[in-house]
Amino acid sequence: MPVTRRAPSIRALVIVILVVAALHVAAIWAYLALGVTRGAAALVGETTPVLQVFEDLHHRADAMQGAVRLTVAPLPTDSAGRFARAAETRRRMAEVGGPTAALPFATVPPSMRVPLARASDELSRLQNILQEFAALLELGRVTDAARRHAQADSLMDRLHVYFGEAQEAGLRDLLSREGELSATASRAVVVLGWWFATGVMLLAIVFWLIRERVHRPLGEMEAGLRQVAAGELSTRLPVHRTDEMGRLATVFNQTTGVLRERAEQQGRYAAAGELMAGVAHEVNNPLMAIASLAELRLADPGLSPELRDDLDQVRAQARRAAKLLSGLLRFVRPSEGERTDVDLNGALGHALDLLSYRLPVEGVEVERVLAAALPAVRCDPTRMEQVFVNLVSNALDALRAIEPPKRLLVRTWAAGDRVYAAVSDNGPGVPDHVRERLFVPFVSGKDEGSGLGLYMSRQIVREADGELVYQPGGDGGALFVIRLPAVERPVAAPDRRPTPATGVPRPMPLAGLAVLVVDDEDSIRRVIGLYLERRGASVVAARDGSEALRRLEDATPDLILADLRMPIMSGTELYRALERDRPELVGRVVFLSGDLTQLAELGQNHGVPPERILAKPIDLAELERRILGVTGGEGRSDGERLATGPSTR
Amino acid sequence: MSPQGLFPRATCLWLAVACAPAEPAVIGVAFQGLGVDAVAVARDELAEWTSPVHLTFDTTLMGDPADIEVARATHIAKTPGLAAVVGHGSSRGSLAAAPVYHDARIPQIVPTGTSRLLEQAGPWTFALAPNDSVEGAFIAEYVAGALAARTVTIFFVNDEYGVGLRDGVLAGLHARGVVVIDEVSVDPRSDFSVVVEASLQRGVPDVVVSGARWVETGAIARLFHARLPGTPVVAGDGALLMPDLAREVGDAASSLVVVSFWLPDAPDSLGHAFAERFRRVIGREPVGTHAMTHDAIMLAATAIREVGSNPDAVRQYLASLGIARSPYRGVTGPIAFTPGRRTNFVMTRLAGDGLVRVSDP
Repeated sequence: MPVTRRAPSIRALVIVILVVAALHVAAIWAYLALGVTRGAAALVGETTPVLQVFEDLHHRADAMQGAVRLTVAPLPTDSAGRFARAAETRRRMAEVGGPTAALPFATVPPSMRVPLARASDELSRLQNILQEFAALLELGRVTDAARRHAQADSLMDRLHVYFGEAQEAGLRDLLSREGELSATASRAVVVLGWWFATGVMLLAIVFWLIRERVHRPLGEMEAGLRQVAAGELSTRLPVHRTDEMGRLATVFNQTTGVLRERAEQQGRYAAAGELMAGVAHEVNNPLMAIASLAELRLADPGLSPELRDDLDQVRAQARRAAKLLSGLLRFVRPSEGERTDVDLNGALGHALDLLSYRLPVEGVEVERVLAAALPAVRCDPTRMEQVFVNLVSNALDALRAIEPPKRLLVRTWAAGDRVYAAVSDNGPGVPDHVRERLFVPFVSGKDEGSGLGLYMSRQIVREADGELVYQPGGDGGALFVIRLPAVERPVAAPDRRPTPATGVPRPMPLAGLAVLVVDDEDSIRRVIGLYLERRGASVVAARDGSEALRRLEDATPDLILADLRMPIMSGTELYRALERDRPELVGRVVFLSGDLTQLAELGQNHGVPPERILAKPIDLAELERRILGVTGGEGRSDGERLATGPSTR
Repeated sequence: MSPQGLFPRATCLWLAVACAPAEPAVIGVAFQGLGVDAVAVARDELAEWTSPVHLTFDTTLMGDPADIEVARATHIAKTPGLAAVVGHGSSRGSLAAAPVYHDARIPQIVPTGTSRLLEQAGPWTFALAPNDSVEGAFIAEYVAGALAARTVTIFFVNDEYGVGLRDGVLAGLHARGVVVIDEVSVDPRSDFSVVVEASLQRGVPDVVVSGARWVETGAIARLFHARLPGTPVVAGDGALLMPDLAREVGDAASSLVVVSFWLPDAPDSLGHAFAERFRRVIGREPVGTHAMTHDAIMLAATAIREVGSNPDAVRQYLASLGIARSPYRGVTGPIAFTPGRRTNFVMTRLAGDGLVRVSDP
């Protein structure tokens, strides 16, 4: 068994991948923003004031040089000249500005601060000397003023030195910063390279993770689902890890296991159904023979009352058994899925008939409140009957748990454009823990239930555009209500024509009718032949299809009453032969068989109309009525009379 | 090493580190000679605290070039355990040192610098004194109001203090309609007789304003007292270095009034206690600069006591005063570094080696 590895969930994995991706992106952003951009911005921000200081120093040096030159030039001796020179000196000093502006300490590199500070001090002193120079000129002390020239010149030289030192320091600082920026750019290239390589590696890891953790399990899941869709219910998926995909695979395996188990169960049911169909055919023939013989005997007016009562009982019980068998066959017969107009009362009645054997045994009282003239509904009749069987069967199961009285109520009614049918009981009702999941597949309130009954019932009703709902019953039991849309056309009224009373002499309605009875059962041939002859028909019998064909070479009957399942040549083969060789006789064939499955195929595969398909067992009177219906109600007087063959009796 | 042995050893190491005596936090003081007295008084007061706060002192000199202040700040910033700095003495020195402390991420409390540029020196610099525009407005109010002057000549030192104060006074005087006859920059090496004489030729003022220090202010006051006796000379706080100013001004003291941040005659208990302690420790009367420097040192010590010696925590403490915390109660009044904070200027005149409050011009 492969080992299932413990692994973090895919959700956690996705979160980790997203976080790592975000960190990876954030890392390069942070590096560029903090390590490169901020450094570059700082360089620009600090370079600008340095350049401004350079420009300012040049301007000041020039202005101050101009002012100092005024002390060198020949000094005027006249009062106006002296005052003019003094005023000019002050003007030049004003251009230089105060010392404060020469102290941008906070914005320049530290290496520039000392020379700038010294320059500022010298500038203050130089301005004061020039001011004294101007003052001496104004006082007429030209000689003293001239002496200030040496001081001013010396200070100017020192000022130049300090300005130069400041500029040199600033330049060195700028060059240093440029070198730092260049190194930063080089580092950025390397870092970006590593970042890219790391990204590629992370991407490869992510791809690998997605392939291993998502893509591959999904592929296996898809393949598994395809196999299941193709009917391979033994499909199992490998569970690699304990993550979400592993849990999905586990659930998948559990689901296919359940499906496989259900399929096996359904297969057994289907096999039982097929077996039942075969058995039914074998049982129908004797049942029909018994009932028909009893009916024939009952026609004898000379019977003693005791014997007549006994024969009545024989006929009634045979009919009852035949009815039950017929219902079972109808129930297990594969549905054709054809939607027709259906009388819910009829479908409900059939379901109750089917389960009628349980009612007296389990002491259940059935109350039927069926609406008269109920509008038809459009659905598959067989499947709708299945729904009612499920509901009634569930009700009967529930009623087992309680003491008498056990009541089962079935109702039908119409309201507006809807037709309703309800099945309720006075049982314990549906447990609370089951109620919410009542219509979920494989959920059952019974120990041995398949859990599919109510689910399928609801699906069937919904396919007919209706709804099946559960309501707690008023007396504590369960109430299931079916709601279906009504069709406008009401259900055709059942044929209420009275069946001819047995034992009463009747006219000969089949007089002149030539009938070929084809059946491998002697008893069936015999009783049908006897009955038809008593009703005026001339009957020729054949044991199988091939004998029937030989009989047809001698004469042409008005009606061919053929069984389906016969040795040598079946009824279907006979029909095909007639289609091929005697097509004029095809329309005279009426099939009578206990194999309802084959009967159904006749309509689908050969286009035989329903009125010419009769299911065993059938009342002889009903048989007569159907024969009259097929032949137009009259014996064929113009037909060639059949030569009486070997006795059927 | 086995895992079993690793855990106890790690625990012992942690306990050794956790239980080790905390290294005393250091406050660097860079100030002129007046600061020595203030540091001595602060040490005396801090000795009564249980929190270990150590003071290191570096004397600055008035007129020190800015490059010296930069070098001094660089040296101080390297002091182990440094949590804050009080200094430097002048506006120019403080401005020159500010970027150094900014780079070292050390809070700097400037006790007496008034240059408005200090407000732009960055988040690590805190100026205790009102800026020069506020002081200029105070002087202008006094000149135009109490002295009823109509013309004024301004002498100023050509640095951040003098230029800032000049600008503040000019703005105040212009607002009051007082005419400024002349603006003259000076320094200790100036030929005062020449500049004063030339200025007088340009006009004779009702009042002279000095935005200079004690040397320049004394010389100017003496010259005006000689040429125009009785002409009032109003000086900014930068001139207030006693008893040097008194010695320099000589007989002209009668015509000189000086702005001070504080006087020892302050009636509040804190001021009284500080004056008493100063007299006991130093043996003479304190002046406003002493009080400002003392407030700056004690404020830094209080911040360390409150939030620890982490410089950033100290900075945040200082920035939160008047916002998230109540203003610090200093000798010179409530201290908070918020716009529009209260000012306590006092106009004084010299009386011997001391100062007295001016009640009547």
